Amino acid sequence: MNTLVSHQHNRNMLAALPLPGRIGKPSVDDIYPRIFDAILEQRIAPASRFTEESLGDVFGVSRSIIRRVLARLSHQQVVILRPNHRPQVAAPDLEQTRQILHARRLAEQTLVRLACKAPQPQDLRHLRDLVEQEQRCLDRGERGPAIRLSGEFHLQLAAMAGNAPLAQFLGSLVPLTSLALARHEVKSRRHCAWQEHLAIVDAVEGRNVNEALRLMDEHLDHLEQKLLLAAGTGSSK
Amino acid sequence: MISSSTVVNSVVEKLRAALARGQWRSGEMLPGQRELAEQLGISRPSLREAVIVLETLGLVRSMPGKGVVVLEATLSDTASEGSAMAGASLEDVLQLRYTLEPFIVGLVAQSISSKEVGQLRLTLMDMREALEADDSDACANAYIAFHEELFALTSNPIFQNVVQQTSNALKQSADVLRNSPEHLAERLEENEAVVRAIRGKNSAQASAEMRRHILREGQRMGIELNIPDDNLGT
Repeated sequence: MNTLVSHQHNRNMLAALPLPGRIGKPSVDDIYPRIFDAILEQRIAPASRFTEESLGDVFGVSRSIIRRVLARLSHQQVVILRPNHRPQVAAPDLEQTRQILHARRLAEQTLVRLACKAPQPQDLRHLRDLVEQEQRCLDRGERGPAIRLSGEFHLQLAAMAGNAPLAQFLGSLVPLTSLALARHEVKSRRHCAWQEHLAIVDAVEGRNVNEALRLMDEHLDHLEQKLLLAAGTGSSK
Repeated sequence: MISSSTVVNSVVEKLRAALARGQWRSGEMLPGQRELAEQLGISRPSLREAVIVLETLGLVRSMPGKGVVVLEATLSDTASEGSAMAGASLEDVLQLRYTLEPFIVGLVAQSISSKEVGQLRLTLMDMREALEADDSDACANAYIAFHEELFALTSNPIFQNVVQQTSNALKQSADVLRNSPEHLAERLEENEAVVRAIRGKNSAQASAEMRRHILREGQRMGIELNIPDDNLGT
């Protein structure tokens, strides 16, 4: 009935993504990263359609949990929900990716500037924590979660800025960038954004606005090169 | 593919925000199709599509022959993700506008048709008439309409939500827009400068005029924005 996930595939998915060691029913927050990782690692193929039921079976949770995860992913533009269609993973093309990156640059410049104003110790700790997790995932060869965590770093930094609408706007750009990265960067070498992230945290902690801006700009340059080069040489149309 | 559903998406966002604000409580029915479509200024087919999306999201359920009932379950999720504007200060909104609108207006200047320029100028004329008639309500409305028309001209779907959100925020803070006649006249002049630059297809100038307008808007509200030093002179 469902061509997307064969039974065998289901098992692999579950084996690859053990639930964190806790008892009780998984929540939206537990399932969201697992589904996003599955999308990023293309265990849910781009442009594939799936149903709430099939995902519910795979992840062993109710449809209502799946529905809320899909709502969050659709808010982030990662999953497209359309009337009378099954949910679908977005597939940003080269031009869209370019525009997303441009919009990110604008938003993140302002956000970094604001984040430098009064960085709180617990927020900085959270950022360093994310960098560490990202690094650990890379060491273990877990590319999907590493890309997701890399995006979460930017969203956490945005949350620190204290401008909720602007952070929310970035929230619709970063996951799409992750998606494009996961799609295009397959052949390139290790993704080493975490070192640049660490340097950004240091600059924000020191309230060094100009340094933070410069580092963020460079970091986005690298991201852009990776994405646009990979897309240009890869599936140019 | 994405752009064709832009209208529907923006309606979904509007309704989602209204639900998150608690405009309708769980168990209540949404207004009838005709009324709601009129309120939102969209066609009934677009509204129907939007309702289907909301149904997919589990926010509402269509009851055949009765109408659309609002469900309870996921409202807290939507509240946290759908309405960042609800808790946003005027300063946040201005900062957001300052970050994005100069860029968006620059894009618009590159692609606008003369017919579309004509429409913008008509809306500014409405604003001028309202100003001359000393009707500050109409003046604020024309300002919001100008904002919406201007940004509806961007073809990039990634900006649609944010434009919708800033429009909503403007409507919520309409009191601030109904200020003194001198301020209204200034705002009109600044908007006219934006349109002149757009008309001349001068992207850089249009961006600069929009930056100036938003900075002045901040000064009129007594808000100082955190912006790069090198932009202060422009």
